[in-house]
Amino acid sequence: MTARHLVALAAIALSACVSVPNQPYNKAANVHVKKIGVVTVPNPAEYQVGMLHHPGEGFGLIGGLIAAGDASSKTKTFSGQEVVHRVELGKEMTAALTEAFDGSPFQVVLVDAGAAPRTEFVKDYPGAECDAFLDVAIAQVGYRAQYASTPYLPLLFAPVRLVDARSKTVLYTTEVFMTDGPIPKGGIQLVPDTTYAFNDFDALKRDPDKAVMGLKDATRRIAKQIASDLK
Amino acid sequence: MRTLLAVAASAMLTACVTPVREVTSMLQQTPVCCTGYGEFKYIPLEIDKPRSVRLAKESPAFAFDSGKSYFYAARLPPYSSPLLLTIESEGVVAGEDRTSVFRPEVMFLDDQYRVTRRIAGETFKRSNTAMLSGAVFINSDNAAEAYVVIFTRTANGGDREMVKTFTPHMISLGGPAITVNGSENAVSLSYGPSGLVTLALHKYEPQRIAK
Repeated sequence: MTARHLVALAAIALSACVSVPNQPYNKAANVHVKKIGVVTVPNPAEYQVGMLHHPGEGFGLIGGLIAAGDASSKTKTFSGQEVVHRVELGKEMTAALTEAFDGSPFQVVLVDAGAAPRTEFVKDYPGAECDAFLDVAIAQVGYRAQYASTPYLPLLFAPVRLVDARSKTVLYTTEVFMTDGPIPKGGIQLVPDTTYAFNDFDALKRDPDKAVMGLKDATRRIAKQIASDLK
Repeated sequence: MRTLLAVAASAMLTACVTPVREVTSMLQQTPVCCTGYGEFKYIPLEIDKPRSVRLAKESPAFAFDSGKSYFYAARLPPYSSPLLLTIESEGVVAGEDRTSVFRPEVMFLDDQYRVTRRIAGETFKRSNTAMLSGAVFINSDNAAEAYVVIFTRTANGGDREMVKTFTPHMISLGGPAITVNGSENAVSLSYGPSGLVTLALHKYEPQRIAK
């Protein structure tokens, strides 16, 4: 767990220098896409709680380990709460995606891709009656503060792609980042709603219902962004 | 222990950045280059050869129907297959009244300099505090488009949105300064008359998923 958090922290710190694949959707070139198969999004394995610039990180390896330990402990505490444990954020995201296409010219069908947690795209798409698969993963989700004295806000990183069902070409891809921190080039940033800001970790722990509402709100806003990119 | 407040660094940066209202005033004093689109100097934009241009007081200005603006004009290659034009605009984050970004308006013209399409600045997405990006496809329906002009409808700096910036608090223990905390600040991001704009033209070739 500690090593994973170190890797995650390093990835976040470097995120401003890297890029994510980006392919805008060319609607005019893909008029054959009428029926979209929304691939079911599995629930995430955990809800990460951390700090982008932890005070410990500046103090070498020992400080880095302290920072990682702190993130690991907060993640465990937050994810272990009854309300958080019960939430099915994958289902929320799947429902939000379906709703986001209401009133659009697309017909939407669900494509079951299993319930095993995944942070990446589906490797092999199951046979389904659709023109393209809309594949969204939850790469990271939880709450993050930028610094020790700034509030914890919802965080949700969602890679997304639309894959032509026949040719298996990627018709649209990007990664939507719900965060107030830096994001990689090629991504889309959605700034978290400050309704769901918590001044510190104790405040976050005290109100898990509100914390969960913040995460559900993130799924809806990300789904709307994706639908808007494709309409 | 010597405390190095990054506030000092950010104040130094702020001092180097011209306030948005002064840049706006400079634009108003800049004479217009031309009487019509046909007189613009069009720079060839080639496939896979991005071009970055800083739109500022040295740039040509024109009185567009939406108002005066600095602009960049490019000539497109003759149409042979669908193309993707990406436009990125990088602004400056330097405190209140100096944080701004150029919100691009995209106008396509045919070879007779007639307007064929206009893409509104509102369609550009924000990625990071002062970075706007957008993408436009040139499909067979747009084969007649020969030129593209990038300007802004919001050169007066009056249109703005609130954004959050962070100021790191750093200390030095004799070695390099390290970040121990930080504070957040809300500043208004103005849509100003200047900024760094990068145009890139690519063939639209969707890739197969990697196995």
